[in-house]
Amino acid sequence: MEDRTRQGASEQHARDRALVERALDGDLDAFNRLVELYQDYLFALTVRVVNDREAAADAVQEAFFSAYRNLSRFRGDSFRSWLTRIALNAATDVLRYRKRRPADPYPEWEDEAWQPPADDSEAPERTAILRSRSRAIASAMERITTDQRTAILLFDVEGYDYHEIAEMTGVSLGTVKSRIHRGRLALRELLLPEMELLQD
Amino acid sequence: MSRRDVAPPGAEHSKHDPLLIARYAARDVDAADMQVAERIVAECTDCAALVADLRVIARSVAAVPTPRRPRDFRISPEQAAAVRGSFLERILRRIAMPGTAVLQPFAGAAVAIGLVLVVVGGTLPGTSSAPMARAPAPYAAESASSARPGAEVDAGEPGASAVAGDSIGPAASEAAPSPYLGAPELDAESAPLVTEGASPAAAEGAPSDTDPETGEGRASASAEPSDPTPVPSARVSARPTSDTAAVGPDEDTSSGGAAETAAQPDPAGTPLVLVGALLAAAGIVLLLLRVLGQRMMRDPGLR
Repeated sequence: MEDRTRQGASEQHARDRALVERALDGDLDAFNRLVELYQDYLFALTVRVVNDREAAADAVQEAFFSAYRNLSRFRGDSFRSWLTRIALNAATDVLRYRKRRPADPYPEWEDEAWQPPADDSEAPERTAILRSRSRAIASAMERITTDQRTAILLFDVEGYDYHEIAEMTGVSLGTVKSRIHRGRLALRELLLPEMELLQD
Repeated sequence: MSRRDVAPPGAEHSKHDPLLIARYAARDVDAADMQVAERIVAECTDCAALVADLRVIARSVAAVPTPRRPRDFRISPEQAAAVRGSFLERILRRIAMPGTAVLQPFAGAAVAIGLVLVVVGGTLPGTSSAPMARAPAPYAAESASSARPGAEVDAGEPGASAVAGDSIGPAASEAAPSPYLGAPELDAESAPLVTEGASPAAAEGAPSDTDPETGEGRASASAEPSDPTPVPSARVSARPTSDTAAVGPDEDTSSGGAAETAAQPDPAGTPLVLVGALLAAAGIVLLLLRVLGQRMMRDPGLR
């Protein structure tokens, strides 16, 4: 199982490197193929970090511009990690410079575009519970620090390990672990009244 | 927080280390901490609940639905051209790339070496900044052996003393009294002092005793007889004065020859200075381009 995962990652890296090579030779379509591969992932991560869809979209667009501009500087093994790092930096800048915080932390929750695709097989009650749960978690996530939120998202949602997160965020391994554990403790404090909602 | 900070099992929940429990919940503890944490969780119901909650939260965060992106982020050819930047920007970006960081110490070394060459080339005996160091050597030798060497030294510039001698300093000034003080005649013993330690002051003062009829060495002495301040000898010898006009043809030739020598570019020092200046300039330009490139191309995304 682990070998298969590793092989899959290796194939993904080889594919990305080939596309990078073609893009470096001036093939814009090759770069746009990379954009297609990673734009959903990158937007999903960024929007959770900045809590604002427009700001997240700006950050992702800037991240792709930055990646295209500096493609020759890509030296790492994983293009996905490199891109993630760029997007996180862009998201941090968005948070720092725009300082546009919605009064309601998640107005998007009322927007259908934010919602997961409706499953017809789900009972309406179940769907309502899932939405309430997602809203509660998202609201709590918005209230912990950006560093803790980013580390938790990279670890729990994106599945990166501690070392990869340390490399991506430019901090030590101990700092990454501390951010994740303290962030979870902070989430628990915030979610304590709603813990029943989270139980299956 | 260290293990010692953890209260022994059975103590109140508030005394337990929540970070240890969080690490335990994430299975991020070593063997020793694992034993402590297991004991705490087994005996403290609140800590056990905390572990359960933290694991539920970790699963729930991962299950939060993914929002849809509002637009396509593919780059158009126009955007690509704008992002790539101008030719100059691409060059600067290339120079500023981390892979070319090795150029920076080389550029710094080039500047340092270039400056050293300029300084060394400029201070070498006989370089253009000390123009008479080489050419008047015969005059210096002559002046050292003659009873009236000051005239020659003066006419031929104290640069001669730089070749023949060593220091350019006040010793010569002392050996060559001011013209105001009656200008005692230089003798054979005092002459070497002039040649060895001559300064512009010496060049002016020494010839004050020379024979005005012969004109030897009178150029500077009579050119500025009332000027007590040292005058650079190159200026003195290059400047025609009334006394210089009185100098006889032979002597004039000798002093004139020295002046010509002073005006000639130095064959040994000048290339050094030139090479040094070019090297330093190249290094500075490279450093400036790199700094400029780094500033222009500083990309917040690539911190």
